Amino acid sequence: MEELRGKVEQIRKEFNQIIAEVSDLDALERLRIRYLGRKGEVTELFKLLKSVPAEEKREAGRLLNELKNEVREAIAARRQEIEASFEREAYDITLPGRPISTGHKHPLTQVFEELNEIAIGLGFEVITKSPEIETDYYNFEALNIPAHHPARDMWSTLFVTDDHRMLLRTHTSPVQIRTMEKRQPPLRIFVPGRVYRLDPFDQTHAPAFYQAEGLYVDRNVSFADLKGTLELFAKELFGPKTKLKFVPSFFPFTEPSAEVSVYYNGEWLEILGCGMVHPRVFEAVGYDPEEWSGFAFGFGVDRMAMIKFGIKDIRLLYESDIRFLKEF
Amino acid sequence: MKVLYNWLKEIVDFDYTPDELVGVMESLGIEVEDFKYLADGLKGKVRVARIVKLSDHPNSDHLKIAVLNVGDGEVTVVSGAPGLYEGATVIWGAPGAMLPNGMKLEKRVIRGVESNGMPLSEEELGLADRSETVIFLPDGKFEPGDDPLPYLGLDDYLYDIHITPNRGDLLGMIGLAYDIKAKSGGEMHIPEFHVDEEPEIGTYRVDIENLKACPRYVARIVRDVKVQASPDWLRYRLALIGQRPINNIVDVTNYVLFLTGHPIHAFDLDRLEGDRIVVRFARKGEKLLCLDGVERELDPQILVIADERKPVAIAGVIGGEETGVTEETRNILIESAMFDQATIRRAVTALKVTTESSYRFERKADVNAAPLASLYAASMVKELAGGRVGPANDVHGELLKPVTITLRQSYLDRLLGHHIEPKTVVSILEGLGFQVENESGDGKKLSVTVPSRRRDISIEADLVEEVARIYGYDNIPSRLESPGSLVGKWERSPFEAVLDAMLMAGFIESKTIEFISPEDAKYFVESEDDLVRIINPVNDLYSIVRPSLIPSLLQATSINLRRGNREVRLFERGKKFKWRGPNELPEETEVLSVVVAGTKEGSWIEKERQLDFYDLKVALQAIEEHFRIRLETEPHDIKFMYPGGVVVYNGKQIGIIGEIKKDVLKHFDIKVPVFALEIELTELPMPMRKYTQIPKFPPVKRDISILVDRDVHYGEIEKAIEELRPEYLSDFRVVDLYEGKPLPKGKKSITISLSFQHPEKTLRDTEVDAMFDRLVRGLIDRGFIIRGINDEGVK
Repeated sequence: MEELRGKVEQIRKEFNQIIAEVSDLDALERLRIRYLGRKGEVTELFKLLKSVPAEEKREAGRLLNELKNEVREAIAARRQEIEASFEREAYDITLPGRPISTGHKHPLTQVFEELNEIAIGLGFEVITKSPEIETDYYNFEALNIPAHHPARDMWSTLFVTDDHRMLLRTHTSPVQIRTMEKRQPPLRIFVPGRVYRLDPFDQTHAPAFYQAEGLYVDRNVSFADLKGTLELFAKELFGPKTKLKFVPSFFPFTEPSAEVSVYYNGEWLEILGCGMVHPRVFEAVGYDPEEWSGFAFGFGVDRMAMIKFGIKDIRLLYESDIRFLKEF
Repeated sequence: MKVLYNWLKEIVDFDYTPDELVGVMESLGIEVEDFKYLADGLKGKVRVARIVKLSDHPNSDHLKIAVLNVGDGEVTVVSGAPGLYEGATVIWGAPGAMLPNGMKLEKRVIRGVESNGMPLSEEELGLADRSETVIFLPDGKFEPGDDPLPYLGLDDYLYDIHITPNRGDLLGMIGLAYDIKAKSGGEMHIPEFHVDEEPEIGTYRVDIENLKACPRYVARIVRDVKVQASPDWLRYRLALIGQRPINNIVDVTNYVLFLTGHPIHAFDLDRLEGDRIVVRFARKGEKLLCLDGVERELDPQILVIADERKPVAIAGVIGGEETGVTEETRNILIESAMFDQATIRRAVTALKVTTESSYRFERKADVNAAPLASLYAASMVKELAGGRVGPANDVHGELLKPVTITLRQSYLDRLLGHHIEPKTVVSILEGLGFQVENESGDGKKLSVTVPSRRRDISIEADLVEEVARIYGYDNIPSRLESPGSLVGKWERSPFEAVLDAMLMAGFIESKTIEFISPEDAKYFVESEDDLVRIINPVNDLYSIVRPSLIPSLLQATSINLRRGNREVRLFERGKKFKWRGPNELPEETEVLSVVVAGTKEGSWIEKERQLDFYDLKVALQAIEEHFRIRLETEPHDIKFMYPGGVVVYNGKQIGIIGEIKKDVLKHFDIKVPVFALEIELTELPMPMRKYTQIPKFPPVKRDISILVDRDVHYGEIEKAIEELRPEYLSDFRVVDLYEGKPLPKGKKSITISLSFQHPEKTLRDTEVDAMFDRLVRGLIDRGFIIRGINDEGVK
């Protein structure tokens, strides 16, 4: 018994010394096996129990179990300590994570999505498929812009055939004609798309840019509807207090025609042209102007994006400088 | 066009202040581009003064010291102006005056003598391009201290207005006055001209060869004129609206043009050969030295005014130098004609010249204005240059009849969405100078006769605009009805859907313009016949409508790399264009293009590395994932790529992928490898989402290593596995690619991890083994060497 007591004390002392120096989990596991494993020192000690006299067995058992629990708890405690120290040392939560490459939507795409959503909300069907190289007929003639009319100067045109019959569309309005030729009224369409002009790049001009236009044809569509629609459109786009100003203007394909300015950041900005569909346009597509009336409006999307995002130079939109694109 | 407030006020009554007039014009659809008070900086700072004493400057041989009586006292000024004399009446600019050219007058000491301002010249006041000396005011009209600004025409406001192309009638003060009158309700005071024609002067013969091109020509002789400078008021008025005064005859033609909007021309009668004017198309090879000093070659689509020998003017555009009015001119022929707008426009386009005259004829002049303008001009010539005025020879074909249009109240109300009282409608139309007859008696149907000056009005809708314009767009209330039967929608296509895929894969969206140069384009087409060429490009760099988006993205890559943006991962959605001949519109195909180049930035956790082909390939994976489709890539020769390949969907080639060739990169000034792909979006289906049962049981994995020659593509193995695909093979992927020891030279090992999964049960090892064995045997049958199975002898 005394011998047992001595051995327990010796093991305890040794164990306490060793465990104090163990600093990693592998060593700790080895230590656990050395003491508590199938052939561990503590386990071996239990084998001595059978040689202890019966009256002392109880005391000896208590002594051994005490040691076993002590060792087990010490190991568990040490494990927690080591793990805790691991966590502190292995992760600096203030460090940045792995570098990622993030996707960015072009600002024009963002404006298009917004415009399309507003248009859908107002009951327009968004049409995004249309030819960008057009015939003179769709770009001009059918829109009541005859050859040799000074109105043609409103659109400086890029041609792809010598006879000028094929050209890069100067506005999205040919889609009005193409759509009306295919469908019967009523219809309400919104057409965003690419347009082209013979303009060199400068701060406010680009040879290719975006327009969007709306067309609504029904019985009794009126100028008052045009005003109401555009006012709501502008409020959605620029904020609920947005004010618009309509002044008379001229477009060959609308009559009456108007130019619209928005009051934004303390100034009136011309943003949009519009009007009631010209009877000759209806005649070109075979609609009876006595039965149907309609309004149309169109605007430059680049300009809209520039106003919205505070971009002062249109070239930024088409240069693809990644620093610029990542701002959006 | 430049418009003076006071001039307008002479012609029409209105109560608008100069500022208010801006708003009124805008509400009428007349855009005011610029507006200013002409005497800004001068008002109260310039005075009539008399030179009471003049002496030489002691320290200068050309400067004089003048003592000026300025009304309330005397001031001393130093001036170098030639021709000063005691008793002269001049215009004194006081210290503090700001001249139109931006110069500010100050009290200064000039060579030891104090100078308080200076006598001013026309040039300094913005009334002439150049002046020899200061202004000497006529004697007896002014007292020292008077305000000279009204005399100079400077106490006035200048509007620079933009007229829409349909409103040629607004390009004269009288036409403009009619519009203002319609709004203000004031009276018109059209200047009345009268001239005693002397029949013995005779008329000049005019032959018009083409009455469509020239519907009217009014010729009038004025003999014995005295050509000299115009009076001050006329010179100043023309100068202020931007016209350089020339002499009294030319100035009259200009003045009448701006007053009536109708262009007038004057010839030196004695320089016309023969005795008649011929209005005809030019003959091939004819030339004309024009008044602007440019000799122009004419062609048979250009209408000219000719004498019996030669062209003397380009009809409606510009006169000839040789027959122009000069100081020697004694007798003149005044032309007041009308030319067809298309004819003038053709000449303007062909000759690339625009004048005040052509600008108006292009916008439809008023055929009835011709005789009136002739009368105005003759009367003014007589007044300013004396002479004897002959009768007009008015040659014309059938004249335009006034247009009468019916305006229905119902139509007006329907188009505007607002009811305007018939009384108001009538008064607006009459205010515009239209004749209105109440056809139905109750105002429901009006018969409106439009004067010939308003040739923009031809249909009922035009009248509606006139009414709305004068009524005021602001006074038409807004209305918004519910969408009704039309539902807002947007049928999205793969063009839209692919955006999400690219953004999820971490690419940055780019937008570039569709134009590239022929040098850029040549790499990207098999045949240059496929290119869409712009015949009138902005410049050569933008003369091709691109056959691919890749050249544009290479430009963007080049710019970014040069600007130090090292990681380029861009995509663009757009159209590529292909020429199909002059009788068919070019083919337009929506494509997605992606480029990857440069360096992926490193960090503390990962090393910096070059972006490579596999950074590009993820774009295809993202599309596969998003669209739930399979895209295969197969090696293929691509003109501008090496290595390159095609992207195949459903057995159809829909795109290309690869590394851009070095010579192409060099052309775009790029020094690092660039990887690119372009796929046609039109061939893709819209992404479909459908739920399939999530497997409840875990997959069983088996690895297989295949030994192949180094140049064998993984795609071949992939294809074989796809074809052999055991029933419960749910997935397989490459997990290792190895070359080197202990493999034989020229060989590589591709390790593929296979997942087997049964939807309804856990597969037993024996079942998996059976499938695995079948697959391995299949691969061996196809000639593949599987490591650890049939690689004896190769190892």
